[in-house]
Amino acid sequence: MNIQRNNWLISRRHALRGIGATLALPLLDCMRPLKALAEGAEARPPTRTLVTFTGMGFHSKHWWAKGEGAAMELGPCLEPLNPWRERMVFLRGLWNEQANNGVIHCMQTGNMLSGATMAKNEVHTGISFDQVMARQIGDRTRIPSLVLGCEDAVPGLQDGHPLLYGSHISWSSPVSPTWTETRPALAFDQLFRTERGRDNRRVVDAVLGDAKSLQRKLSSADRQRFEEYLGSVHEIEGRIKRAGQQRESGGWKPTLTAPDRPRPADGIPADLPEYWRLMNDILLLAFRTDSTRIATMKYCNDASTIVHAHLGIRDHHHYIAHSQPQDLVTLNQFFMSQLAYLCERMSEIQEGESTLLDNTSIMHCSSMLHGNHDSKQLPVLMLGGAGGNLRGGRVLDYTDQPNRRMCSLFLSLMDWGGLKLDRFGDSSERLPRV
Amino acid sequence: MSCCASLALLACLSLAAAGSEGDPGLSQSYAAQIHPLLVKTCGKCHGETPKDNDLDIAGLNTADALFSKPAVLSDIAGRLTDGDMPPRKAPQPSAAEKEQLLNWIQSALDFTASAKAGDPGPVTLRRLSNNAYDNAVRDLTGVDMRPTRAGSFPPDSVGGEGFANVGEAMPMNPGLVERYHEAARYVAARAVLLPTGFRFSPSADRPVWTSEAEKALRTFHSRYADNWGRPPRRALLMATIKHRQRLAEGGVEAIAAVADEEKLNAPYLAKLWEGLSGASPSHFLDAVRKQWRETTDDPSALLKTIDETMEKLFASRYLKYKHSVLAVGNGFPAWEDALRVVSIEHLESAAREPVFRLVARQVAPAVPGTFVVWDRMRLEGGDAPSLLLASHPELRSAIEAASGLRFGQHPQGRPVPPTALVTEAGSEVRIELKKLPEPLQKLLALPRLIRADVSLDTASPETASVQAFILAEKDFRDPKDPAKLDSKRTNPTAWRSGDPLITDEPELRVAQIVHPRVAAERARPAAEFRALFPPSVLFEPIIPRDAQGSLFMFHREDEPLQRLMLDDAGRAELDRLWSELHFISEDAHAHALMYAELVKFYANANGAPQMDFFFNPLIGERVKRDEASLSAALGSSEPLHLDALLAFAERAWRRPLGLDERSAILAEYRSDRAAGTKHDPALRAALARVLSSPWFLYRVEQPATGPRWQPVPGFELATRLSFLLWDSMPDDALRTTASRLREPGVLEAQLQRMLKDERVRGMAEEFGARWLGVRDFVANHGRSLKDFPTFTPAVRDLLAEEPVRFFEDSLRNDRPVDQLLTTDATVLNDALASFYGIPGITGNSWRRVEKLSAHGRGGVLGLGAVLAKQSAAARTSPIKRGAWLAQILGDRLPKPPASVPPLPETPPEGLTVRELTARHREDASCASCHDRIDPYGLAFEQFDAIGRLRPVNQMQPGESRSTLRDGTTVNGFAEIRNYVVDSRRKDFLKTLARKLTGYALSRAVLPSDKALVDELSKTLIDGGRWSDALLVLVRSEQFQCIRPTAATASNSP
Repeated sequence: MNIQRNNWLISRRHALRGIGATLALPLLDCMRPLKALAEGAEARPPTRTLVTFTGMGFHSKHWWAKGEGAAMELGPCLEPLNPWRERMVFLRGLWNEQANNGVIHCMQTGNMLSGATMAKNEVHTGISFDQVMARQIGDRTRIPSLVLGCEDAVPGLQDGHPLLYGSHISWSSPVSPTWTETRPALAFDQLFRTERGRDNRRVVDAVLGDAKSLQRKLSSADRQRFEEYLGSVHEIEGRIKRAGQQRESGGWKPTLTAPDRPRPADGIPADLPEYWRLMNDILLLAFRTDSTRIATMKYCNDASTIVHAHLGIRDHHHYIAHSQPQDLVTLNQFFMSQLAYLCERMSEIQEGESTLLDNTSIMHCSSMLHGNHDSKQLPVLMLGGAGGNLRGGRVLDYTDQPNRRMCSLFLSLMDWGGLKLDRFGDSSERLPRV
Repeated sequence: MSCCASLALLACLSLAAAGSEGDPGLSQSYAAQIHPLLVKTCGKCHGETPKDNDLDIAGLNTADALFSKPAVLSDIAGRLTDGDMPPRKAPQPSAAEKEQLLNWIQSALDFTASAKAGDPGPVTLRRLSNNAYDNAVRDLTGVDMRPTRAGSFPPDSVGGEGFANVGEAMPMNPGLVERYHEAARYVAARAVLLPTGFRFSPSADRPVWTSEAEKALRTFHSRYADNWGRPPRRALLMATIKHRQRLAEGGVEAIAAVADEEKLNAPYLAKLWEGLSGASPSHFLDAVRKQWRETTDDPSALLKTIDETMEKLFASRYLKYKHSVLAVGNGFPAWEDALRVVSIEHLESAAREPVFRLVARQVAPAVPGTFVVWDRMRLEGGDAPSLLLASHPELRSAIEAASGLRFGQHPQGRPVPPTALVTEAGSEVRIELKKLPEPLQKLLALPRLIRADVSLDTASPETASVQAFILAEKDFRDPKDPAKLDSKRTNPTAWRSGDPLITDEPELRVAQIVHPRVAAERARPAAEFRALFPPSVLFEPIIPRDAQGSLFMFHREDEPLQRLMLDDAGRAELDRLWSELHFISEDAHAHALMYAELVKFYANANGAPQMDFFFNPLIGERVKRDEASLSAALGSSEPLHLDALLAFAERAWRRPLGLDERSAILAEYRSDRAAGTKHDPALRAALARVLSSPWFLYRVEQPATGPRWQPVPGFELATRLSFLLWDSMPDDALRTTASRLREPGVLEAQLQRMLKDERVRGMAEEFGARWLGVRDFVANHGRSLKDFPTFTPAVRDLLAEEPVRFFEDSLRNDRPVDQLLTTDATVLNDALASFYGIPGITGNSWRRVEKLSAHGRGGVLGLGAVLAKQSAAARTSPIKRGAWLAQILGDRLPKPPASVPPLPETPPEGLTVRELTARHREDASCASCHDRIDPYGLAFEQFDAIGRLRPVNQMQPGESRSTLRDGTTVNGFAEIRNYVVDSRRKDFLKTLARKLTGYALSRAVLPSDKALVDELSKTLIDGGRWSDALLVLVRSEQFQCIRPTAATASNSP
């Protein structure tokens, strides 16, 4: 398929030609009947894939880990993860080569999960690996993937570069970031609002009719652009259809069949820790109910200007990422405490012999190592058991290795999640040792 | 190098006719000299395997290869000019080499620019931005409901030259599609169906729609009457007095002129004049006329006479106790005629106990020989048919026995109808029927009413006058003391048992029954006065207020208004407003339900006599009639709604609909109906479907058909124009001229009109605020609230509003564009002025205020939002402010280094921002950039991090002084502004021209836009106004044309 042929190595013009086919994919995928169901019994719990992200790296002196197993020592930034160090792999030296060619911040973030090039003056990059998974194996669950964020996207241009890059790590097409839901209630609806009335279906049908007549009037370039709309409507159509279908249960059953909490209130909680906690809970709920097996959580944007007053910090994130006061360690710890929370909750959920944590691969990453805009090496953490594929309590250093590509790690993550690809992004080999 | 070389190049250029792929002369010189020179100068890093960059100059070995990348060309030129490249450490080209390169690049750029001048360029399919969507919904529905804000849409992203109208920067995904569908339902839920179409409301609740309809009615009422429903009687009278002569001589025209002059209602003025100046005798009017003729100025005494007469001739449930209107809505009018004189009176009384009194009271002087005929005494009301007492044998004989009277018998033996009883005037006859058997007694109890038609026997004297009463009630005399009356009596009928049977003071509300021969003549004078002087012309409360509650939701009583003050159009408008109120509230349905419930309730619970009226058959009939007419109105409105739906779709989709599209929309509605959906929800679904359509969400333009670009059709040009100026869809005026926009003067006239329209706020927001970088100020101001407690949300909103208002003012008044920079004015209200410390501004309306230099305001450089946005969270940032100004002036900045060394951790105590910034520049790799930007920013140190002027005593001397890169020293706001105005005006305007072009064309500026940008720059530099600048843009080929469908390679950048 087209996406496997990595269009970031091809010129913009070629890429555009490819979009028609590429964008038709979600249509084909979601129109397909739930084949995974027919294939029947899944004896053991599936492996879930979770990517988490915080922008602008970590404190330059206090982000480190050494030793192995129980004897592993963690730098102050990682302190909240101390109880989980034996479930953790600390990776050093990985990079996305293409992130070093553009302006700072946004161009270091837009290809975080794809390794693709990013165009200037227009939005054009590669599909991120979570969305490649969503397209190819996302039909195993009610929704292909859940993409959440705890900070809205920032509009604007930075030296001609769309700031859209800096606000999105998940990309469902080269020109479109994946819808990143920041409203808890709407995220909840995405998972559980299966009641879609006849009106909705009729609107979708009617709108598809309009889209067909509209498409005939467009220039060829616009027709490709419009595929994005068509694909989106088709996906909704697919969701409506799937909502009506009963899933057959295989050997394995999710621990929850319906949400165990009410729909959250509309809007965003004023208290930031409460907000992030709520988003984490929705994410956990998605995995527990097997609504999806692929999730991405962007806690904050790159170049985020959130002032974390709840930690007693006076300056905004971007500013302290540069000036590196002690507050930055506090903030970094707050980020890590989100992961610790996820690990704790996941470890409490028993799925047969194993826990949800055993059956999840969590990757945490950031756009640069420190606040100095250097993405020649990225801070990366792996947590969880990845379905028995990942052994924790290790520090892996790739600094001088020939293969230190993030895309290699993504290939491994996709393997564990159930998608085997020959190559992805700028890599055609798995990350060794992981 | 040489003029020769460039002349040669120019010669080549002119030889190479436009239309060829490249220019042979340029290609030859590129291959022969330029490419080798480029490789020599840059090839070390930009070779086949670029190091730390993505530019392979070695690979660009033909001129065509380079032409296809105009951005690279201008980038190379810029870097060479600025000395960014080659890096200082690397070998530098000689001055001659540098000049040779630059000249060639310039020629190449000029060549591409002229070869494709006017190219509309690739404009990617545009989706409506959030603002455009909200604006379009506002203009479609007439209600500013901002669905994207309600639906928490993600913020718009920008592209091209930094604006939110660039198709490429407007991704679409399932989440957004769902938001759009949700938003469409949000809008559809706010449609208010009307008898002939629909309107929209900010609310989705019917009760709110009903209050809106009431409000519309009240607004209409208020044009004619005060809040007691009274016409401006004093002013009207005053006019008849003041202009007596004119009116006497001038006839109809004079009345119209006077009404116009005095801003009075002409029809009423005419009727008043006629009434007051009339001569035919009329008892009540004559007194008023006489006094009127004697009045020459103040009409107070005259008014007093009129009021007193009114008191006599009208009985009101309304005026005196406006807020305790007595059951006006339960079928009773607010006003009744007092001192009525009739020949026959239809009496009615609630049956409570089987005891009746027939009272015929004579109005003094008593005239003997007067007999009263009580005809057709009957029981009515409730659910049973009318029962004539005379034809019920048992009741008839019981009544005759109890009263001593005989049906059909006159005491003096005169002929009377067989169904009538006759009594003598000035008598009371008691009829007690308590001995009747129980079932018969029940017939006489509620819910029945006893009624009779009462007149005088024609043999009675013509001077006689009688007031008749049927009292079907207890004896209210206190049993212990018959002289006293029972204080608890509730019957509103005025006459009480025990009152004198001959009176000088007739009951005002009770008709005087007189001889049929004289009735009409005796009624006339009062009727004539009442017709001319109603106490109120309308029932102002609309909603009846009554302690007991009213069955009817609304009460309409406005006959005097219609008769005296409205013309046909006014009456039609009033009827329309009322029919809409009934239609929207669906009150008749509610009445029917309520009525049935009430009848059931009171039929069982006897002893609630105050509810008499529910058993009035007229009320029941009215309830049924209203319900039927509402159902009819609902039914007949359905096809009209569908017509309105199609018209709505046509406006929403901004183009004529095809027949197939019309029938598709209707077919969906019909299939919903066929599936059992009611009209209202089916219509809303259809509305939502229209707004969910990509035809609404996208700005679809049909590509040119030939090989070259072509003008777009008129309606597409109209759409381009309206989105440019209003960030919204065209209005009706623009739509109707769409097909003529290319005729001389039409486009210009529309532009002028649209520029003055308040919707131009769309451009103020989407061009102005975005250009200045403050469009997202509310969400992303970056201020630390902890450090700035005065930076409240209200202040934040004010600061965000100022730039928009400033632009709006500039656009709507068509000011010279350069005044954005040079003016000493801004647009303020009291709250913002007090935040800025500017005295003397009162009132919260926004207005332009001049001469603000001393306060650090005036023009775009003094906008608080910009100064605050370009600050660090807790302190000012000369770096950010400087970079902002550099951007506004179009200064080229070198690429920031890939690795920025961290700043020192916490800045040492006592270090000023200035010193901190200086430290930043000590690093050589930082200095190359920051030497260009920081000095600008330092001059703004007068302002704090939330955009206020800092008090002088809190500033160190020279804190806002700085030396710019060109050696100019500036200190503070006034000087930096003077510097920009005096030395950099052209740069400012050129950059603005480029941005404006990018905004107008929804894309990045291309080399082929050079001529357009140059023309626009010149217009701005010459002091052009907004209309001049916008005309340059909207007349341009770029704006008016579109590329063909398959953009060929030569047409792509």
